Amino acid sequence: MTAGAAAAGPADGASPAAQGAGPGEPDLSRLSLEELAMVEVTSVSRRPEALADAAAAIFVISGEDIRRSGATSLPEALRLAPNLNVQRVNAVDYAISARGFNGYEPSNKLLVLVDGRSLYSTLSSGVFWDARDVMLEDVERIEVISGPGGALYGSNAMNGVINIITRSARDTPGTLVSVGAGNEDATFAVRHGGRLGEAGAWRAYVSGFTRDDSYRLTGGDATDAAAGLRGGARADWTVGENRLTLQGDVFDHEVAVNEGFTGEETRVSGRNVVGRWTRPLAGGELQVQGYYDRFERTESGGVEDSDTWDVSVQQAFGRDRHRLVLGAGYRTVQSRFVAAPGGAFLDPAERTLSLTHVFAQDQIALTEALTLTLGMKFEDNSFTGQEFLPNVRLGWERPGGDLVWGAVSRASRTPNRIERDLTLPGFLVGGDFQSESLTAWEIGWRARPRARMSVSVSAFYNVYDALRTVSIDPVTVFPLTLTNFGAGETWGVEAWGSYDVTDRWRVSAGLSTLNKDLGAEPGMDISALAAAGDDPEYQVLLTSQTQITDRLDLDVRLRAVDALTPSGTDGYVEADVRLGWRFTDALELALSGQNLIGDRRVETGDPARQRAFGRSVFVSLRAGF
Amino acid sequence: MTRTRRTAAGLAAVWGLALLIAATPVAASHGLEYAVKANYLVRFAAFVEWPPRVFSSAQAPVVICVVGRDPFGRTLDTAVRSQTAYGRPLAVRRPAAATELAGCQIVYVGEGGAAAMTAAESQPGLLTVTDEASSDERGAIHFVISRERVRFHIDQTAAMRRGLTISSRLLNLALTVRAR
Repeated sequence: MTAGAAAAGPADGASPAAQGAGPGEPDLSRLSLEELAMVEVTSVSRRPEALADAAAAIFVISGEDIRRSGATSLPEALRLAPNLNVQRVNAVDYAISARGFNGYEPSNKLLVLVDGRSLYSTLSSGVFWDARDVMLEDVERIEVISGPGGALYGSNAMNGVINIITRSARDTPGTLVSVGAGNEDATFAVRHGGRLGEAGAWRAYVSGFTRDDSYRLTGGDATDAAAGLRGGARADWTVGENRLTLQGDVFDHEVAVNEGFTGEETRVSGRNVVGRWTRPLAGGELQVQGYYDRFERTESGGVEDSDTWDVSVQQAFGRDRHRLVLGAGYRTVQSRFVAAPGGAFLDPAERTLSLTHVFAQDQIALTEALTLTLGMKFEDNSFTGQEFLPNVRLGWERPGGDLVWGAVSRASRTPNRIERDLTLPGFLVGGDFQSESLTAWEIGWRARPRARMSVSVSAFYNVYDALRTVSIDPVTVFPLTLTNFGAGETWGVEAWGSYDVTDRWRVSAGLSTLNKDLGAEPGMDISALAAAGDDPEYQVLLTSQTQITDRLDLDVRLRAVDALTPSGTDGYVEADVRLGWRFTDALELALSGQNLIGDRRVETGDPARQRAFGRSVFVSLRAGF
Repeated sequence: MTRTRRTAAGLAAVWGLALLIAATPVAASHGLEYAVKANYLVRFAAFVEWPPRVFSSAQAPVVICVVGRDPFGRTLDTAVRSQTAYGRPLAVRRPAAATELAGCQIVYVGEGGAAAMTAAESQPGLLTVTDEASSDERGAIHFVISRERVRFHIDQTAAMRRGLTISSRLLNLALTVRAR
C-alpha cells in the first residue's frame, strides 16, 4: 500500500545554507521532518551513470510526472521532455528525436533503453514506437539526455539517449488495477506483486490497449486502428552481497501499415528476457547484464524478424580523486527480412550482425569544485569495423551551489540493414554506406537561484559528417545507392526550469531551439538531404501542477511547436488538462483532456504517412490494494 | 583513422596530466546526504514510541547504534547534541560487533553490518534502519535517494512485531508503507 506522498511542491525556503557545495557541515538541526525531506542532495549513488551525467543536458521525467500527465502510452509520456521533439505520425506510430533530424524515416540518432535493453532497430536505426511500450504505472523514471551519451551508453547514442527505468519489484507490492477509456483509446493494466523470501520481491502484469483511427487530412477516418496486449514479470532478490534481477515481457500488437490508406493490418510481436547481477567488487561495484530480445513484424510487404543476444560487463571503482568505470559488451543480432516478390528487398535476406564495445571513463576531482571526466569508447561492428569515440567533460561547482559544465564528444551512427542491403534491381542497389559521425560541443548551467526555483540551460553546436545521401550512378543514373555525402552544423539552446509559487502549486517551463545548416556535396544527392529531417525551429512547454486539496490535483500543460522545416507543416499550440481525484489512498479517478485547442492538427511532414489528430478525452480509474 | 588515434593519444596525455595534478588524496565533499540521514535518525527518536520496559529509567537516553561502516562520523554526534525525544536525551554508540545490540533503541546498519539484522530479530524495541547505499535487506526504515532527496520506505509490520509504534506524521512522509 502506498502512503499518500507529501503534497506536490517543496515546502518553504528550506535551508538555503544547506545546499552549498563547499566544505564544512551544514546545520540541519533546525529543520522539521518535512523540511528534511526536501533538502536536495547530490546522490553518491552506486550507479556510475548518475555521476557522469551531472555535466550533461539531462531531463528526468518521474513516474509521478507521468501519472499526472494522463499519458496513455510511452511516446505520449515522452512529450513531457522539453529536449525531445515528438511527432505523432498515425494512430500508433511516432517520430521522436532530440536536436533535429526528426521524421519517420530520418529519425535514427536516438538510443532508447528500457532497463538497459536497447530498443534500437538494426533494420532501420529507428525505434518502432508502434511496438514498444511499457506499463507506465511501473516506470520509476525516464532520463532524457540530449547530446551524445558519453562512454557509458551503448553505440548509436548520437543525438540523445532515452533511458527508461522501471521500478524495482520491491517497490510494487500488492495489486494494482488501472482501467481507462476515452473517445480515442481504451487501456487496462493489472499488476500483482509479492515478496520472495526475506529480501526479494516479484511482480507480474498484463496490460492492453485499443486505439481508434486517426483522420485523413481531407477528413474521414484513416483506417489505422490498432490494439495490443502485453504481459511480463520481474523479480529482484539478493543472495549475500549479490543483487539479482530477472525480468521479461511478451507483446503482441495489431497495427496498420502506415503508408497509404490501405487499412491493411500488420502484426508486431516480440518477447525479451533480461538478467542483471550486481555486487561489490574491488572496492567498487561490478555489474553484469545479459538479455535476449526477439522482434517480429508480419505485413503483406514482408516479414521481418530479429533475435538479439547481448551481454555486457561494467566495473566501477574509486580511488582518491578518481571514479573509474570500465566496461565491455558484445551483441549479436540475427536479422531476417523476407520481402514480398516484386518490391524492394534486402540482399542478403538474412544477416548476422555483431557489435563489440569496450569503454573506460575516469571522473577526476581536480579540485573540490572542478571535475574532469575523460571517456573513451572503442566499438567494432560488422559493417564499418572499428570506431574510436572519445569525450571530455568538465564540471565546475561554483561557490553559490550552481554548476557550469562543458563537453566535447565524438559520436557515430553505424549503418543499418536497409542502408547496406536494400535492393530493387535496376533502381536501387546496396552499397558501402559508412557510419555517420558527429563532433558535439556543449556547454551548460544548472542552478537553484532560490530555494523554490531550479533552472537548467544548455547550448550545443554539432558538426556532422558523412550524413546519408542518395546518389545516382555517374554514368547510367540508375541504380541509385545510399552514400555519405551530407555534412553541416546544427546549433541551438535547451532550457527548462520550475518554480514553486506556493507549497501546492508548481509552474514549469521548457524551451528548445534548433538551427540547421546542413547540405550535401554538389551533384551527389537527389534526396534534397531528406536525412536532415523535418524539424521545428523552436518548441515551448509550459506546465502548471496544483494540489487543489489533499485529494484533488490539477495539471495543465501547454505546448507550442513551430512549423516544420523544410516540409512547411503548420506549427500548433495545444493544451492538455488532467484532474485527478483520490477518493481514498487506494482509489483514484482521473479525467484528462488532451490537445483541446485545435480541431485538427498534423504533427509530421511525411506526405505518405501523415495523419491528422483531434481532441481527446479520457477517464481512468486506478485502484491499488 | 589517424586523426582519431591522435585524439586518443591526446586524451591519454591529458589523463596523465590530470593524474599528476590529482595526486594528493582528498575527501569527497558529499557530506550533505549523510548529514540529512544523521538528522533523520535523530528525528526518528521523537516519532517512534518504544514500549516503556525498554528503558531503564525515565531519564535513560534513546540510544542510536551504528554498526558496520560508519558513514556519519562527527555529523551524527553533532546532530544528537542537545536534542531530546519525549524528554529523553539522545546518545550514540558504535558497538565493536554488529551483534552487540543490547541497550540500543535504534540501529543504523552500515556496510558490512548485515549480521545486525539477524541479531535484531530477537531483540524487542529495536528500530532497524537500513540504507539502499549499503544493503538491500530492508529494516523497519530503509533510506533511499529519490528525486535527489533523501527519502525512506517504512515497514510498519516489522516495527509492530518489535512493539514499536510509528507516528502517522512519519508514516506520511514515507515513500511506501508496508502495513500488511
